[in-house]
Amino acid sequence: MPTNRHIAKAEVDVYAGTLLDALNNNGGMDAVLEGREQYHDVMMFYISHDAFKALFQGADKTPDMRKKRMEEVMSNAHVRPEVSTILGVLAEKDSLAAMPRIYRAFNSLLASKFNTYIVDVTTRVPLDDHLREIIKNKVSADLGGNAILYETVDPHMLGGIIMSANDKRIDASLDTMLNQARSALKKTNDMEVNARG
Amino acid sequence: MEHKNNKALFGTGMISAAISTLGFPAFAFAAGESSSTGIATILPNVEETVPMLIAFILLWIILAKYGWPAFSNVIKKRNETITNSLKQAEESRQESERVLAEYKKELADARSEAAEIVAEAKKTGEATRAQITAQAQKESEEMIKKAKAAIEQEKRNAIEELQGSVADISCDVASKLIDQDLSDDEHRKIIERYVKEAGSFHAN
Repeated sequence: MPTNRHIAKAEVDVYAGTLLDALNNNGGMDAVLEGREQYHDVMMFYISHDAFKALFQGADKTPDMRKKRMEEVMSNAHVRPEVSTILGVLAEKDSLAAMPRIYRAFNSLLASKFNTYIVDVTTRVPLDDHLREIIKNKVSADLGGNAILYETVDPHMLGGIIMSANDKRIDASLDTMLNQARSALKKTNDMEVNARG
Repeated sequence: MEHKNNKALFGTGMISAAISTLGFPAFAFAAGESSSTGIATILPNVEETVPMLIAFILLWIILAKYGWPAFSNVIKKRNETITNSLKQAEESRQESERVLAEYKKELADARSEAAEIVAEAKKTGEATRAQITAQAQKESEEMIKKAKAAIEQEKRNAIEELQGSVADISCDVASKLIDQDLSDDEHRKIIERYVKEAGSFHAN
Protein backbone atom coordinates (compact mmCIF):
# COMPACT_ATOMS: atom_id res chain seq x y z
CA MET A 1 0.00 0.00 0.00
CA PRO A 2 1.58 3.27 -1.06
CA THR A 3 2.31 5.78 1.65
CA ASN A 4 2.27 9.55 1.39
CA ARG A 5 6.03 9.48 0.90
CA HIS A 6 5.72 7.03 -1.99
CA ILE A 7 2.95 9.08 -3.57
CA ALA A 8 5.02 12.25 -3.25
CA LYS A 9 8.04 10.52 -4.82
CA ALA A 10 5.89 9.23 -7.65
CA GLU A 11 4.58 12.75 -8.27
CA VAL A 12 8.12 14.12 -8.27
CA ASP A 13 9.20 11.43 -10.76
CA VAL A 14 6.23 12.29 -12.99
CA TYR A 15 7.16 15.97 -13.03
CA ALA A 16 10.85 15.19 -13.66
CA GLY A 17 10.07 12.62 -16.39
CA THR A 18 7.60 14.94 -18.11
CA LEU A 19 10.08 17.79 -18.14
CA LEU A 20 12.90 15.57 -19.38
CA ASP A 21 10.80 14.05 -22.16
CA ALA A 22 9.41 17.41 -23.23
CA LEU A 23 12.85 18.98 -23.43
CA ASN A 24 14.34 15.99 -25.21
CA ASN A 25 11.48 15.85 -27.71
CA ASN A 26 11.71 19.53 -28.48
CA GLY A 27 15.48 19.91 -28.82
CA GLY A 28 17.45 16.86 -27.89
CA MET A 29 20.27 16.93 -25.37
CA ASP A 30 20.98 20.62 -25.91
CA ALA A 31 17.44 21.49 -24.90
CA VAL A 32 17.68 19.13 -21.96
CA LEU A 33 20.81 20.85 -20.70
CA GLU A 34 19.44 24.31 -21.33
CA GLY A 35 16.16 23.51 -19.65
CA ARG A 36 17.94 21.94 -16.71
CA GLU A 37 20.10 25.01 -16.26
CA GLN A 38 17.12 27.34 -16.46
CA TYR A 39 15.17 25.19 -14.01
CA HIS A 40 18.15 25.25 -11.66
CA ASP A 41 18.41 29.05 -11.81
CA VAL A 42 14.70 29.53 -11.11
CA MET A 43 14.88 27.05 -8.25
CA MET A 44 17.82 28.82 -6.62
CA PHE A 45 16.13 32.20 -7.09
CA TYR A 46 12.96 30.87 -5.48
CA ILE A 47 14.87 29.45 -2.55
CA SER A 48 16.87 32.61 -1.90
CA HIS A 49 14.27 35.33 -2.56
CA ASP A 50 11.31 35.64 -0.22
CA ALA A 51 9.74 38.32 -2.38
CA PHE A 52 9.57 35.86 -5.24
CA LYS A 53 8.07 33.24 -2.94
CA ALA A 54 5.51 35.75 -1.74
CA LEU A 55 4.13 36.08 -5.27
CA PHE A 56 2.70 32.60 -4.95
CA GLN A 57 1.76 32.45 -1.31
CA GLY A 58 -1.32 33.62 0.54
CA ALA A 59 -4.96 32.67 0.75
CA ASP A 60 -5.96 35.51 -1.58
CA LYS A 61 -4.13 33.88 -4.51
CA THR A 62 -6.14 31.28 -6.38
CA PRO A 63 -4.42 28.37 -8.18
CA ASP A 64 -5.22 29.92 -11.53
CA MET A 65 -3.70 33.24 -10.43
CA ARG A 66 -0.55 31.50 -9.27
CA LYS A 67 -0.16 29.59 -12.52
CA LYS A 68 -0.71 32.65 -14.72
CA ARG A 69 1.72 34.69 -12.60
CA MET A 70 4.45 32.02 -12.87
CA GLU A 71 4.03 31.67 -16.61
CA GLU A 72 4.11 35.43 -16.98
CA VAL A 73 7.35 35.71 -14.98
CA MET A 74 8.94 32.83 -16.90
CA SER A 75 7.94 34.36 -20.19
CA ASN A 76 9.56 37.65 -19.26
CA ALA A 77 12.71 35.75 -18.21
CA HIS A 78 12.78 33.92 -21.57
CA VAL A 79 12.65 30.52 -19.96
CA ARG A 80 11.94 27.58 -22.20
CA PRO A 81 8.19 26.84 -22.47
CA GLU A 82 8.63 23.28 -21.19
CA VAL A 83 10.19 24.56 -18.00
CA SER A 84 7.65 27.36 -17.73
CA THR A 85 4.77 24.91 -18.10
CA ILE A 86 6.07 22.59 -15.40
CA LEU A 87 6.70 25.49 -13.04
CA GLY A 88 3.22 26.85 -13.80
CA VAL A 89 1.67 23.55 -12.81
CA LEU A 90 3.76 23.46 -9.63
CA ALA A 91 2.60 26.98 -8.78
CA GLU A 92 -1.02 26.07 -9.52
CA LYS A 93 -0.82 23.11 -7.18
CA ASP A 94 1.11 25.10 -4.61
CA SER A 95 3.99 22.60 -4.86
CA LEU A 96 6.88 24.91 -5.63
CA ALA A 97 8.67 23.66 -2.49
CA ALA A 98 9.17 20.35 -4.34
CA MET A 99 11.47 21.95 -6.92
CA PRO A 100 14.75 20.65 -5.42
CA ARG A 101 13.45 17.07 -5.28
CA ILE A 102 12.26 17.33 -8.88
CA TYR A 103 15.69 18.62 -9.86
CA ARG A 104 17.40 15.65 -8.26
CA ALA A 105 14.92 13.25 -9.86
CA PHE A 106 15.55 14.96 -13.20
CA ASN A 107 19.27 14.31 -12.90
CA SER A 108 18.68 10.70 -11.92
CA LEU A 109 16.39 10.17 -14.87
CA LEU A 110 18.90 11.79 -17.16
CA ALA A 111 21.54 9.37 -15.94
CA SER A 112 19.32 6.30 -16.15
CA LYS A 113 17.62 7.07 -19.46
CA PHE A 114 20.51 8.55 -21.39
CA ASN A 115 23.42 7.08 -19.43
CA THR A 116 24.55 10.65 -19.02
CA TYR A 117 25.59 12.44 -15.87
CA ILE A 118 25.53 16.16 -15.43
CA VAL A 119 28.56 17.24 -13.48
CA ASP A 120 28.40 20.64 -11.87
CA VAL A 121 31.95 21.93 -11.72
CA THR A 122 32.96 25.11 -9.89
CA THR A 123 36.50 26.46 -10.23
CA ARG A 124 38.34 29.72 -9.83
CA VAL A 125 39.75 29.66 -13.35
CA PRO A 126 38.03 28.40 -16.50
CA LEU A 127 38.66 24.75 -17.36
CA ASP A 128 40.74 23.89 -20.36
CA ASP A 129 40.11 20.88 -22.57
CA HIS A 130 42.69 18.83 -20.79
CA LEU A 131 40.95 19.29 -17.45
CA ARG A 132 37.54 18.62 -18.99
CA GLU A 133 38.85 15.37 -20.37
CA ILE A 134 40.28 14.36 -16.99
CA ILE A 135 37.01 15.13 -15.19
CA LYS A 136 34.91 13.29 -17.79
CA ASN A 137 37.19 10.30 -17.56
CA LYS A 138 36.84 10.28 -13.80
CA VAL A 139 33.03 10.43 -14.02
CA SER A 140 33.00 7.64 -16.59
CA ALA A 141 35.28 5.55 -14.43
CA ASP A 142 33.23 6.17 -11.28
CA LEU A 143 29.68 6.06 -12.67
CA GLY A 144 30.06 4.21 -15.98
CA GLY A 145 28.35 6.77 -18.22
CA ASN A 146 28.86 9.89 -20.25
CA ALA A 147 29.58 13.12 -18.47
CA ILE A 148 28.33 16.52 -19.37
CA LEU A 149 30.06 19.29 -17.51
CA TYR A 150 28.14 22.26 -16.24
CA GLU A 151 30.92 24.73 -15.54
CA THR A 152 30.83 27.69 -13.17
CA VAL A 153 33.72 30.05 -12.61
CA ASP A 154 33.76 31.61 -9.15
CA PRO A 155 36.49 34.28 -8.83
CA HIS A 156 35.91 34.48 -5.07
CA MET A 157 37.05 30.92 -4.74
CA LEU A 158 40.65 30.51 -3.63
CA GLY A 159 41.44 27.56 -5.85
CA GLY A 160 40.84 23.86 -6.44
CA ILE A 161 37.56 22.41 -7.63
CA ILE A 162 34.07 21.52 -6.44
CA MET A 163 32.23 18.78 -8.35
CA SER A 164 28.68 17.49 -7.95
CA ALA A 165 27.21 14.49 -9.73
CA ASN A 166 24.86 11.65 -8.94
CA ASP A 167 23.77 13.42 -5.74
CA LYS A 168 27.33 13.43 -4.50
CA ARG A 169 29.47 16.47 -3.95
CA ILE A 170 33.24 16.38 -4.00
CA ASP A 171 34.74 19.49 -2.44
CA ALA A 172 38.42 19.72 -3.34
CA SER A 173 38.61 23.49 -3.06
CA LEU A 174 41.56 25.24 -1.44
CA ASP A 175 39.11 27.18 0.71
CA THR A 176 37.83 24.02 2.32
CA MET A 177 41.30 22.58 2.68
CA LEU A 178 42.59 25.72 4.36
CA ASN A 179 39.62 25.73 6.72
CA GLN A 180 40.28 22.10 7.55
CA ALA A 181 43.95 22.93 8.14
CA ARG A 182 42.91 25.85 10.35
CA SER A 183 40.61 23.62 12.39
CA ALA A 184 43.24 20.91 12.64
CA LEU A 185 45.84 23.43 13.80
CA LYS A 186 43.53 24.83 16.46
CA LYS A 187 42.52 21.36 17.60
CA THR A 188 46.16 20.28 17.83
CA ASN A 189 46.99 23.42 19.75
CA ASP A 190 44.11 22.82 22.16
CA MET A 191 45.30 19.27 22.76
CA GLU A 192 48.84 20.50 23.39
CA VAL A 193 47.63 23.16 25.81
CA ASN A 194 45.48 20.63 27.66
CA ALA A 195 48.38 18.19 27.80
CA ARG A 196 50.58 20.89 29.32
CA GLY A 197 47.87 21.93 31.75
CA MET B 1 22.11 49.76 136.38
CA GLU B 2 25.72 49.23 137.44
CA HIS B 3 26.06 52.96 137.73
CA LYS B 4 23.01 53.04 139.98
CA ASN B 5 24.50 50.35 142.30
CA ASN B 6 27.76 52.23 142.60
CA LYS B 7 25.82 55.32 143.54
CA ALA B 8 23.98 53.38 146.27
CA LEU B 9 27.24 51.95 147.62
CA PHE B 10 28.79 55.41 147.76
CA GLY B 11 25.72 56.73 149.63
CA THR B 12 25.94 53.97 152.24
CA GLY B 13 29.62 54.69 152.99
CA MET B 14 28.93 58.39 153.42
CA ILE B 15 26.12 57.70 155.88
CA SER B 16 28.36 55.39 157.99
CA ALA B 17 31.19 57.99 158.18
CA ALA B 18 28.72 60.67 159.23
CA ILE B 19 27.32 58.50 162.05
CA SER B 20 30.74 57.66 163.44
CA THR B 21 31.85 61.29 163.35
CA LEU B 22 28.67 62.91 164.55
CA GLY B 23 27.69 60.11 167.10
CA PHE B 24 30.92 59.94 169.02
CA PRO B 25 32.59 63.40 168.96
CA ALA B 26 33.98 63.03 172.54
CA PHE B 27 35.92 59.86 171.72
CA ALA B 28 37.48 61.55 168.86
CA PHE B 29 38.65 64.51 170.85
CA ALA B 30 39.63 62.27 173.74
CA ALA B 31 41.82 60.16 171.51
CA GLY B 32 43.54 63.24 170.19
CA GLU B 33 44.17 64.63 173.66
CA SER B 34 45.26 61.43 175.72
CA SER B 35 48.87 60.99 176.70
CA SER B 36 49.70 57.59 178.37
CA THR B 37 53.03 56.32 179.47
CA GLY B 38 54.51 52.82 180.16
CA ILE B 39 52.59 49.68 179.47
CA ALA B 40 49.42 51.68 179.14
CA THR B 41 50.80 52.85 175.91
CA ILE B 42 50.33 49.48 174.19
CA LEU B 43 47.16 48.35 176.12
CA PRO B 44 43.74 49.15 174.65
CA ASN B 45 41.93 52.04 176.21
CA VAL B 46 38.51 50.80 177.24
CA GLU B 47 37.03 54.25 176.98
CA GLU B 48 38.05 54.45 173.41
CA THR B 49 37.73 50.81 172.44
CA VAL B 50 34.11 50.23 173.39
CA PRO B 51 32.66 53.20 171.46
CA MET B 52 34.85 52.32 168.58
CA LEU B 53 33.73 48.72 168.76
CA ILE B 54 30.13 49.81 168.98
CA ALA B 55 30.62 52.17 166.12
CA PHE B 56 32.33 49.42 164.18
CA ILE B 57 29.54 47.00 164.87
CA LEU B 58 26.97 49.54 163.94
CA LEU B 59 28.87 50.33 160.83
CA TRP B 60 29.30 46.68 160.08
CA ILE B 61 25.57 46.05 160.58
CA ILE B 62 24.61 49.00 158.40
CA LEU B 63 27.06 47.94 155.81
CA ALA B 64 25.98 44.32 156.05
CA LYS B 65 22.37 45.27 155.77
CA TYR B 66 22.50 47.97 153.18
CA GLY B 67 25.95 48.13 151.67
CA TRP B 68 26.95 44.59 151.08
CA PRO B 69 23.77 43.45 149.32
CA ALA B 70 24.01 46.40 147.02
CA PHE B 71 27.67 45.79 146.52
CA SER B 72 27.10 42.09 146.06
CA ASN B 73 24.31 42.85 143.70
CA VAL B 74 26.51 45.18 141.76
CA ILE B 75 29.27 42.59 141.71
CA LYS B 76 26.83 39.93 140.66
CA LYS B 77 25.41 42.10 137.96
CA ARG B 78 28.83 43.08 136.93
CA ASN B 79 29.77 39.44 136.81
CA GLU B 80 26.75 38.65 134.75
CA THR B 81 27.48 41.52 132.49
CA ILE B 82 31.05 40.38 132.06
CA THR B 83 29.91 36.79 131.59
CA ASN B 84 27.36 37.87 129.05
CA SER B 85 29.90 40.05 127.40
CA LEU B 86 32.38 37.22 127.34
CA LYS B 87 29.70 34.92 126.04
CA GLN B 88 28.69 37.42 123.45
CA ALA B 89 32.31 38.02 122.64
CA GLU B 90 32.81 34.28 122.32
CA GLU B 91 29.74 34.00 120.17
CA SER B 92 30.87 36.96 118.15
CA ARG B 93 34.30 35.41 117.87
CA GLN B 94 32.78 32.10 116.81
CA GLU B 95 30.47 33.90 114.44
CA SER B 96 33.39 35.85 113.16
CA GLU B 97 35.40 32.69 112.76
CA ARG B 98 32.49 31.04 110.99
CA VAL B 99 31.98 34.05 108.79
CA LEU B 100 35.71 34.22 108.25
CA ALA B 101 35.77 30.54 107.40
CA GLU B 102 32.85 31.01 105.07
CA TYR B 103 34.49 34.03 103.60
CA LYS B 104 37.75 32.12 103.20
CA LYS B 105 35.87 29.23 101.69
CA GLU B 106 33.97 31.53 99.38
CA LEU B 107 37.18 33.30 98.58
CA ALA B 108 38.86 29.98 97.86
CA ASP B 109 35.87 28.91 95.80
CA ALA B 110 35.92 32.22 94.00
CA ARG B 111 39.63 31.89 93.37
CA SER B 112 39.16 28.34 92.21
CA GLU B 113 36.26 29.35 90.03
CA ALA B 114 38.21 32.30 88.72
CA ALA B 115 41.12 30.01 87.99
CA GLU B 116 38.81 27.61 86.24
CA ILE B 117 37.26 30.46 84.28
CA VAL B 118 40.67 31.74 83.35
CA ALA B 119 41.80 28.23 82.42
CA GLU B 120 38.63 27.67 80.47
CA ALA B 121 38.94 31.04 78.80
CA LYS B 122 42.55 30.29 78.02
CA LYS B 123 41.62 26.91 76.68
CA THR B 124 38.77 28.37 74.65
CA GLY B 125 41.03 31.12 73.45
CA GLU B 126 43.65 28.62 72.42
CA ALA B 127 41.07 26.49 70.65
CA THR B 128 39.54 29.55 68.98
CA ARG B 129 42.94 30.79 67.98
CA ALA B 130 43.84 27.39 66.59
CA GLN B 131 40.51 27.19 64.80
CA ILE B 132 40.86 30.69 63.38
CA THR B 133 44.41 29.96 62.35
CA ALA B 134 43.40 26.69 60.71
CA GLN B 135 40.45 28.36 59.01
CA ALA B 136 42.58 31.23 57.82
CA GLN B 137 45.21 28.83 56.56
CA LYS B 138 42.60 26.75 54.80
CA GLU B 139 41.00 29.80 53.22
CA SER B 140 44.34 31.16 52.17
CA GLU B 141 45.26 27.81 50.65
CA GLU B 142 41.95 27.70 48.80
CA MET B 143 42.43 31.25 47.60
CA ILE B 144 45.92 30.43 46.42
CA LYS B 145 44.63 27.29 44.75
CA LYS B 146 41.84 29.19 43.03
CA ALA B 147 44.18 31.96 42.03
CA LYS B 148 46.60 29.42 40.60
CA ALA B 149 43.77 27.69 38.73
CA ALA B 150 42.52 31.04 37.41
CA ILE B 151 46.00 32.03 36.37
CA GLU B 152 46.51 28.66 34.73
CA GLN B 153 43.18 28.95 32.93
CA GLU B 154 43.97 32.49 31.81
CA LYS B 155 47.34 31.32 30.63
CA ARG B 156 45.77 28.43 28.78
CA ASN B 157 43.18 30.71 27.23
CA ALA B 158 45.86 33.14 26.21
CA ILE B 159 47.93 30.36 24.66
CA GLU B 160 44.88 28.95 22.90
CA GLU B 161 43.93 32.37 21.67
CA LEU B 162 47.45 33.06 20.56
CA GLN B 163 47.78 29.73 18.81
CA GLY B 164 44.32 30.16 17.29
CA SER B 165 45.43 33.54 16.05
CA VAL B 166 48.60 31.99 14.71
CA ALA B 167 46.53 29.37 12.89
CA ASP B 168 44.20 32.04 11.51
CA ILE B 169 47.07 34.26 10.48
CA SER B 170 48.90 31.35 8.88
CA CYS B 171 45.84 30.35 6.89
CA ASP B 172 45.12 33.97 5.97
CA VAL B 173 48.69 34.41 4.79
CA ALA B 174 48.44 31.20 2.81
CA SER B 175 45.14 32.42 1.33
CA LYS B 176 46.70 35.72 0.33
CA LEU B 177 49.69 34.01 -1.20
CA ILE B 178 47.54 31.57 -3.11
CA ASP B 179 45.17 34.32 -4.15
CA GLN B 180 47.90 36.63 -5.42
CA ASP B 181 50.76 34.47 -6.47
CA LEU B 182 49.21 31.51 -8.32
CA SER B 183 48.80 31.83 -12.05
CA ASP B 184 45.91 30.28 -13.98
CA ASP B 185 48.12 27.43 -15.13
CA GLU B 186 49.21 26.73 -11.58
CA HIS B 187 45.54 26.72 -10.55
CA ARG B 188 44.80 24.23 -13.30
CA LYS B 189 47.65 21.99 -12.19
CA ILE B 190 46.23 22.03 -8.69
CA ILE B 191 42.78 21.20 -10.07
CA GLU B 192 44.21 18.32 -12.08
CA ARG B 193 45.96 16.91 -9.03
CA TYR B 194 42.89 17.27 -6.84
CA VAL B 195 40.61 15.61 -9.43
CA LYS B 196 42.97 12.66 -9.60
CA GLU B 197 43.17 12.43 -5.80
CA ALA B 198 39.43 13.03 -5.20
CA GLY B 199 37.10 10.31 -3.98
CA SER B 200 34.59 8.42 -6.12
CA PHE B 201 31.24 9.76 -7.33
CA HIS B 202 29.58 6.54 -6.33
CA ALA B 203 27.01 7.38 -3.76
CA ASN B 204 27.93 4.27 -1.81
